Amino acid sequence: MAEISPTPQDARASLDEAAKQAAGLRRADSAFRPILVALAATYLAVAVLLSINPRGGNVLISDGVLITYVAGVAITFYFAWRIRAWSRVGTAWLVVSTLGFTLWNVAVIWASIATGWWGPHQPGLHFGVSAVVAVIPLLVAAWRTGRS
Amino acid sequence: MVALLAAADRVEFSFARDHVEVSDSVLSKQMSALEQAGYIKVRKGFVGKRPRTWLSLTGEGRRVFARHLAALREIAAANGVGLEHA
Repeated sequence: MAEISPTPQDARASLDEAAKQAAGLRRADSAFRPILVALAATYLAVAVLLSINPRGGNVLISDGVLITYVAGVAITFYFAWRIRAWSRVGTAWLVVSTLGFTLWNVAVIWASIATGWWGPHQPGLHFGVSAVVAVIPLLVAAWRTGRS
Repeated sequence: MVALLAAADRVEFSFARDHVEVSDSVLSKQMSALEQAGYIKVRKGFVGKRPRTWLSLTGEGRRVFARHLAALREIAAANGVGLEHA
């Protein structure tokens, strides 16, 4: 039995359908947004606690940091568990965003220390300000995720 | 279905069903056939008591689909049909 080739119009329709499926999957990448927001929120929450000047030692602050970190990681994993479709673009974007945040974070920490913004006589608020600057890539990535 | 999987690392069965708008049984039959042909991988698991089935294209599946798309583009281009999205 001879194979029947699709007509050009059928081929075009099949290509359009394939593009539509891929586009639909990219829209589902918005499910990644809560992961990035949870990471940013955890980072900021810990920074707020550390900004309350614990240099004298404060068990409440240290417990708060630990609880916040553990809760943040748990929430992040929960959001990841809920994802029903891992698109290639979305997964790559998640990895790049997290790496980008890490590198930017290192740069901000370096600059904060090198300029004396963080110092023994500086107010704890400086730490919080650095954290807000450091978390910008994560927030931008969260905003961009799942948008075509 | 394969177009959906080609754009993904892996997709949950229920997501694929809802996205492609077919019933569970239709999708299961399609997946069985594709799995037997070696084009997709089906991974079943449980999270707590909740079953989860993950679908992904194999390397061979991706290669075959890429060749299929290339052939479709040639056919569509041969008669000058627009290729804005190809």
